[in-house]
Amino acid sequence: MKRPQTCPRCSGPLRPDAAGLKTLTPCPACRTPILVLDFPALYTSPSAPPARPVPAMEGAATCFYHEKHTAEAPCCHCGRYLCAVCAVYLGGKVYCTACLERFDEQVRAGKDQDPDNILMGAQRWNYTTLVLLGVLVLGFLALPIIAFLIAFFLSFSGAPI
Amino acid sequence: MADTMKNIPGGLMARLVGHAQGYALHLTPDHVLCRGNTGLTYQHRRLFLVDIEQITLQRTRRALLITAVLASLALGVLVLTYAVLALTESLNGPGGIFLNPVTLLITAPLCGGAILNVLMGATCRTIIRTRAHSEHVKSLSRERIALRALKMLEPAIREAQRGLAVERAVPDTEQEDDALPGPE
Ligand SMILES: [Zn+2]
Ligand SMILES: [Zn+2]
Ligand SMILES: [Zn+2]
Repeated sequence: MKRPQTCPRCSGPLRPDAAGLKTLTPCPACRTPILVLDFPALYTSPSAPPARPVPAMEGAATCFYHEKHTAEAPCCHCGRYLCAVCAVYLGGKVYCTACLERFDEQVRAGKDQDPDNILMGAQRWNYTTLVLLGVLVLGFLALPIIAFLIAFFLSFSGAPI
Repeated sequence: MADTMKNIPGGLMARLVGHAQGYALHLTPDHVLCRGNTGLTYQHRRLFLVDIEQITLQRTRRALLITAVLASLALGVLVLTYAVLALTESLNGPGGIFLNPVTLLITAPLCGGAILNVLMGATCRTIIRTRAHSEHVKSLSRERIALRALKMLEPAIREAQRGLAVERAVPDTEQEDDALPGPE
């Protein structure tokens, strides 16, 4: 189950005891000092057996999407009952795929900037950096113009340039 | 919620001038919040502790490079001063090369920067990986700080993933699967 650890720089194999190290140690292949920390999540492979739905009993609550499956948990966002197939566990909460898709669209569209509403994360333009860059570029553009103006007015004052 | 959010070492810039210019990590009970300036964009990303698969540290040559650039710049200014003083035949003037006020004003910060850079120690690239994403953590770019941050992150992640190791040990004998329709 455990896949061999590889170097983040050269992708070469690491020493077998690399997982237990607490300081940076040279990679056997490229000699770059590295430290690789693996966590259990790495080994819970995506090929883990899919959750199996439980057939619904008469009168039991069923999945919003599958009326023959027993509901396991409600989506924490829309509240719909979900079966084992439909429930997506993320960060300790249960979501339905419809809600996840909607979150993803909102994040992509940049509409949802409230940190507490952003599920996966978001990126937007950093205006401070952009403004600073703009000022810098304009400053450089203005430099020759200012120099020219100074030379121009000095030529009137009769001072030697 | 705010009191359960702990600052992870690193990201001095973010702490001094705010997240518009800096970048820093915060640890909450269930996720790591990566927040701040990543060049031309501002980012706000959550890495849930249960999803973190791997953290890698990799030493870089940036510290060496910074010291080399600063030192050679300082040296360049000294050479330039010498050239100017020699040309104007004032080598023996007040202050000489080293105590020339202009030279001192330029070289002192350069040398100071070089010394500070050496004191801050080796540089590294820290990457936090989940199945879906690799986060290059810019605030953990010095080895000493990154290792300190790991001391805080590692126990939290292990604690959050304690159940995972157990789940994995259960043999999955029941594999046959009747293609189940997903939600429309
Ligand atoms: Zn390597
Ligand atoms: Zn939902
Ligand atoms: Zn379902």
